[in-house]
Amino acid sequence: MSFVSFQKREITFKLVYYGPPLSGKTTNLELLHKVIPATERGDMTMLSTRQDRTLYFDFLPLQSNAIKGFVSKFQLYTVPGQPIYTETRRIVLNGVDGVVFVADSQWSEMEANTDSFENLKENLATDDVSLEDLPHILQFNKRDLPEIAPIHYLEFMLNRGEHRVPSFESVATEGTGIRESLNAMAKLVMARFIKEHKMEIGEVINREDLAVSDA
Amino acid sequence: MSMTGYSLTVEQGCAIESAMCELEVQAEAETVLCIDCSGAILGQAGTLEGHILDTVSALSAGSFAATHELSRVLGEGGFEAVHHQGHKKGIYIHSVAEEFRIVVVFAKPTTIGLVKLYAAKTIKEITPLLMHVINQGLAPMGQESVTFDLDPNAVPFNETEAHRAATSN
Ligand SMILES: Nc1nc2c(ncn2[C@@H]2O[C@H](COP(=O)(O)OP(=O)(O)OP(=O)(O)O)[C@@H](O)[C@H]2O)c(=O)[nH]1
Ligand SMILES: [Mg+2]
Repeated sequence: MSFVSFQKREITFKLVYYGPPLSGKTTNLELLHKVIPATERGDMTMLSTRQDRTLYFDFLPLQSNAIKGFVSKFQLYTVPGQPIYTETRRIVLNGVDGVVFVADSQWSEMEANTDSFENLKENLATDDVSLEDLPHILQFNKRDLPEIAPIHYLEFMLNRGEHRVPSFESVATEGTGIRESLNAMAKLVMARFIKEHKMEIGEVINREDLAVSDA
Repeated sequence: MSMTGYSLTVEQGCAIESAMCELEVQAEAETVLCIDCSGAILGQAGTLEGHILDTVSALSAGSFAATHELSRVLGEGGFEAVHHQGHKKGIYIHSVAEEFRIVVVFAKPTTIGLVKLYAAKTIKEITPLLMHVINQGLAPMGQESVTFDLDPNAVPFNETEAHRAATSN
């Protein structure tokens, strides 16, 4: 749910990093915090357990000038991957504009990946949102490990919707592929926003034309 | 509210900010925010500024949502407000027009009683405006001339030295 303030000339978008337990969602935000200059980001907040597992969410605010004349604010959140926290994930998804699905490439995690993907669809459905209609991308993480599935297999498992979505390989711990994923996500979300805005302007103008012809 | 978004006109933004300023002064609060349920900031007044406001907003929205959900699970049907009190500072969060929250950060000598009193007045004042905002969508009347342009070659977040250093091992 993007929000425009014409007064502050700001647009706010909410991006959520979703995925199975320990797939590297928190690591994505940590590395982004490290590589994005301080002028374009705020501090990172982590609500985690003593074992560094996400308990509620992580939060990282970013801003960019990609839309002319406005500051585009991107509020990045992660969800906790552990199955018991499904209610928490539902809360964090509220008002989301785009989802980066961080999959774990290891063979041992294939079921966890598909379970989490189904869980994402279910949680969105409780808010009447369908994943098909929501800008999202896939990130195949942990490409540095030995026992990993090939990309075409991961694509077959997770990217089989009517419309193929962009996907990226990554090694989050080394910062590889994370900026590319973020940029692709941000662009998709902004493109969607601009399109929706144009459509709504068309409707407003039509309404006014009708009002004029009524008078 | 539409799934894709909503907006505030300049006038609406100013009206919300002046309501926040008034509340900040009357309740002698440190910072007052008007946010939506997902943590975006509509307007604010007070001493906090910059990215820390985003963090306060995200955590306040999260805290309210968790408490609200908890009350629902317990069959209470949702709380309207939450109040956290520390040694020196307190925080009071109240929902407005369902989708929005007023967040008041205050310190001694202000009391929660005072904050509640003035917050109630502010909420009453801005509810009609926020109800209207929910219904007007992304392109409110009077802002039709504003268009958004994305440079197709623009990279939202450019590669930096820090990134090259982090990935070059
Ligand atoms: N080898 C390798 N390890 C990774 C990579 N990305 C993350 N890890 C490690 O995987 C573990 C879990 O990473 P987190 O980022 O905490 O995972 P998460 O998805 O946030 O986990 P939850 O919050 O519990 O859902 C950590 O030990 C990371 O260092 C990667 O690309 N390669
Ligand atoms: Mg985590």
